[in-house]
Amino acid sequence: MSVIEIIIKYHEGLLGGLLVTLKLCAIIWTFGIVAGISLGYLGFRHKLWIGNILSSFSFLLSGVPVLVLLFWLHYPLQEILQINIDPFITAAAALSIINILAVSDIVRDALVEFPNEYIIAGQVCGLKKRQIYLQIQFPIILRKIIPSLLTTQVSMLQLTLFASLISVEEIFKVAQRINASVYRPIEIYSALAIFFLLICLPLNGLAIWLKHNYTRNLSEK
Amino acid sequence: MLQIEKICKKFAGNSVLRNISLDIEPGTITCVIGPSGAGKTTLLRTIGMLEFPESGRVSIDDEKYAFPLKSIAGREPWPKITMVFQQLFIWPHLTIKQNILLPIGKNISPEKYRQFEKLVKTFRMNSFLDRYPNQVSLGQKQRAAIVRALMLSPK
Repeated sequence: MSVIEIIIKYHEGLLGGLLVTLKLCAIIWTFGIVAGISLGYLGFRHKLWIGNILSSFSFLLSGVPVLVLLFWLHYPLQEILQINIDPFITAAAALSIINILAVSDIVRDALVEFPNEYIIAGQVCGLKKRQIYLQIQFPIILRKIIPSLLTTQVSMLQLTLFASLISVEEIFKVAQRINASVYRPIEIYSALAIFFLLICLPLNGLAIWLKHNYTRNLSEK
Repeated sequence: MLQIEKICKKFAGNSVLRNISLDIEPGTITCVIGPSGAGKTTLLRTIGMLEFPESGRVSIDDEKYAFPLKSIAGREPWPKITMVFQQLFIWPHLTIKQNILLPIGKNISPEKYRQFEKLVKTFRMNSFLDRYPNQVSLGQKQRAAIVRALMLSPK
């Protein structure tokens, strides 16, 4: 049975798995980008409270492997709280937390490293605060964070594979189940690798292209 | 007319400017000369209202600032007074032309555009107007920073 034949035969299952993966990604990306950017900005503005809390959480989380966090949220925490949460929600929550903290770190670092002199140069040229923000600060910071944001989101897509380990029926789990019934690991996992390559490589390529073409040298500071 | 009277400024307890007074007439060139750490930049930043002194007075035409002062909100002297920084601070995401024209705004009058063309010709900038700051030399960036300031027609 070739890769194509496997895909055709199990297309419903694979499509279902793909949809779960994409749904998981959509949640993780949305929460990560919206909440991460907001928290990153708030962490920069209120360094003492929000900034330090975010740094502490990031530091704490950097010492916990993703898999351990996922399992801890899925088994012990639910056991302690005597609740039973859908594994999909648990995976979405765990990966969203990781993404939110990663994005907020990127945004906070970009804001902290932003050379204040560009703002002063705008002031002495008679620009208003709003103009400085919209025409100088925002575009420079956006150009700086977009490549890192893209690569982080690609990593998050790859991390969704871990959701299969707490029984989320995403594409990897479906591929595993198909393999268990037909035992064609080379074909099945090659197809899976191609699927991830097709999604991840263009995004990573775009990140590199943006970095080269739009992230200007800020070394003047 | 720019007048500075008895300006005093301290950094971490160290007196950097002590009772500095200075009058600068419009259309004149004034040089401030001194060794490193003498306070030249601090004086210029004070004149440009980027730093506030502990005491003294600064008058720019009819606008008078008496220190100590917490804020100059609503009375900003820019671009009547503007600065060309030592490190230039040409905005990196804009081309040289955009850097010069951004402070002028979107609706540039024909007269202002003629001024721009004249300055570009005087400073020989035509060949690199559409380049980004990281694609030009330091000398070219310096010219761009000077033209950006001159375009604002400071006093």
